[in-house]
Amino acid sequence: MEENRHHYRPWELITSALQGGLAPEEEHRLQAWLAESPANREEFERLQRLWKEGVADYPRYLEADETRAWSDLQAQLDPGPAPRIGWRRWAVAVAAVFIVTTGLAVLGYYLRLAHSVEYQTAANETRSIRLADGTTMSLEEWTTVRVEAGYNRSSRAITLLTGKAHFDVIHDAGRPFRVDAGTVEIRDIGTSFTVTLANDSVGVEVITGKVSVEDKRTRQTFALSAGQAANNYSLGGSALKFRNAPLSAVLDALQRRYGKSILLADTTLAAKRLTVNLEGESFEEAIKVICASLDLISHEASNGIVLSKATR
Amino acid sequence: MTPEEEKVWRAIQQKDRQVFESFYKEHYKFFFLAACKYLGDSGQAQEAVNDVFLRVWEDAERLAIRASLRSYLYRSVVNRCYNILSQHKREREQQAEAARQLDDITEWKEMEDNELRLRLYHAIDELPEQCGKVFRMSRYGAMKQQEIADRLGISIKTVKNHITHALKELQRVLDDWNSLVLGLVAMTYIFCQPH
Repeated sequence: MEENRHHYRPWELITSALQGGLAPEEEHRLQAWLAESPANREEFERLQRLWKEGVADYPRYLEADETRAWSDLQAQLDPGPAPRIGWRRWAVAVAAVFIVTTGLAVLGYYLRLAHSVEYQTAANETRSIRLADGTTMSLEEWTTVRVEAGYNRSSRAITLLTGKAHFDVIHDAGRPFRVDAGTVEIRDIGTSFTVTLANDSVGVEVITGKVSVEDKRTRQTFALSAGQAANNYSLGGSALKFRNAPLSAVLDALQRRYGKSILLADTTLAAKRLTVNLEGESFEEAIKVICASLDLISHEASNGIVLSKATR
Repeated sequence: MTPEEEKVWRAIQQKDRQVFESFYKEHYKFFFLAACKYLGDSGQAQEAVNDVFLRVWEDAERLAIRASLRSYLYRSVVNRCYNILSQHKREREQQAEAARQLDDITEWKEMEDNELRLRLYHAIDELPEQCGKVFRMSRYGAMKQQEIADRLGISIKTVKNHITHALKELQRVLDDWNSLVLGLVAMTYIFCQPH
C-alpha cells in the first residue's frame, strides 16, 4: 500500500549515518531512499537535527541536582534569630584579642591570600600540602601547581601547570573548587580525584564522588563519577616538542619516554624555560641539547644523570 | 495564572516552606537548563537559579505576579543571567545579546524549546538500561558501534537496534510535543478570534 511505503524507514542505515559510520554500499542505499521522495529527505533531516542539536545539552541536564541546590538555597532562606547578636559581640571580642596577639600571623595570612602561591616538586620528590580550607593536594614528582590568589574567599582555584597531582577536596558548596589543567577545567564540590597534565595529554581520574570536566576549547562538559577516568586528550602537541616550557616538564617527558632518571643539582633550575624539539633524538643527544640551551653540564651518578650549572 | 499556580503562589506568599520546596524541586531542572544555556557553567547556573528563588521568597508578599508564576521566574532567571554575564564582561557578542529585550513571543518560544529539551532528556533517562547505555556511549561518548559492542559484549546488530529504539522513542516525544503545541496554538487562535 502507498501508505506503508511512505512510512518505511531504513533505520539501520539512518542510525549508522548519524553516528558517522556508513560503508560506501550503505551510503548508496541511503541516498537511493532519500531520493525516493522529499518526505524521506525531510524525515532524515529532522532526525539529524534531533541527534545533533536536539539532545546536545544532555550532559548539562545530568548536572542538575535539585536536592543539592535546595540545601544550598535553604541555608540562605533563614536569617539568624536574636541570640546571634550576643554571638557577634563575643566574636568581635575574640577577634580583637586574636589580632593583637597574632598580628603578624594574620597579616601574613592575608598577604598570602592576595597572591598566588606555587608549589613544585623535582625528581623522586613528592609533596603533600594542606590548603586553607582543609583540602589536601599531593604532588607527584616533576609537578608544578599554583594555588590562585584569593583561595577560599569566594571560590577555590588551582592551576596544574605540569605533572600529576591528587586532590582530596573538602565539601563546600558555597566555594566551588576547580582545577585548570591545560585545555581542561575540572569542577567539583567535595570529592577526591587525580589529574595528570603532560605535554600532549590530560588525564582525570575520579576516586570518590563526582566531578565535572569541561574541555575549554569546545566548551563541552561532562561528568565523571567514582571509578571513571578520562584520558588522552590530544593537546595537538608532540610529547617531546616544547615551547617555552619549564625544564621540569621537559625532564619529566624525557624520563617517561626513556625510563632513565634525571636529577638536578640545583632545584631552582626546574623552573627555567626552554624551547626545544627532542623528537627523534637519542637520550644522550637530548641531554646534550638541553644542556646547550640552558648552559648546563651533565654527569653520570649512581642514581642517574645529574644536571648542574656550568661553571667557568 | 491557573488556579493551581494561584494556590502555590498564595502559599509561598504566606511563607509556606514545604510548598516552596516542592515547587522548587519540581521545576528546578527547567530553570537550571535555561540558565546553563546563557551561562554555560553549571555552578553559576545553580547560583543564578537560587538567587532568583531567594529574592522571590523574600519579596513574595510585595510582589504582584499577574501572568504565570513559571514565566515570571523564567524571565527573572534570564535577567539574572544577563546581569552575571555583563558583570563578567564576556565577549561582545553576548553583551549585544543582553541589549535586546526579551519580548513576549521570543520568551514564549524559548520556554517551549526548554520544556521540549527537558522532555527529551527525561526520555533518555527512561530508556531501558542497556539501550540507554548504548545511546549515551554513542552520542556523548564518541564511541563507534564496534567499540560499544566490544565494551558491552554484545553484537553490532544489537547496538544498532538499541540506537534505533532510542531514536524512535525520542522522535515519538518530539511528535507528541509538536501536536500538543499545535493544539494549544489552534485553541488559542480559535478562542482569541474577535467576534
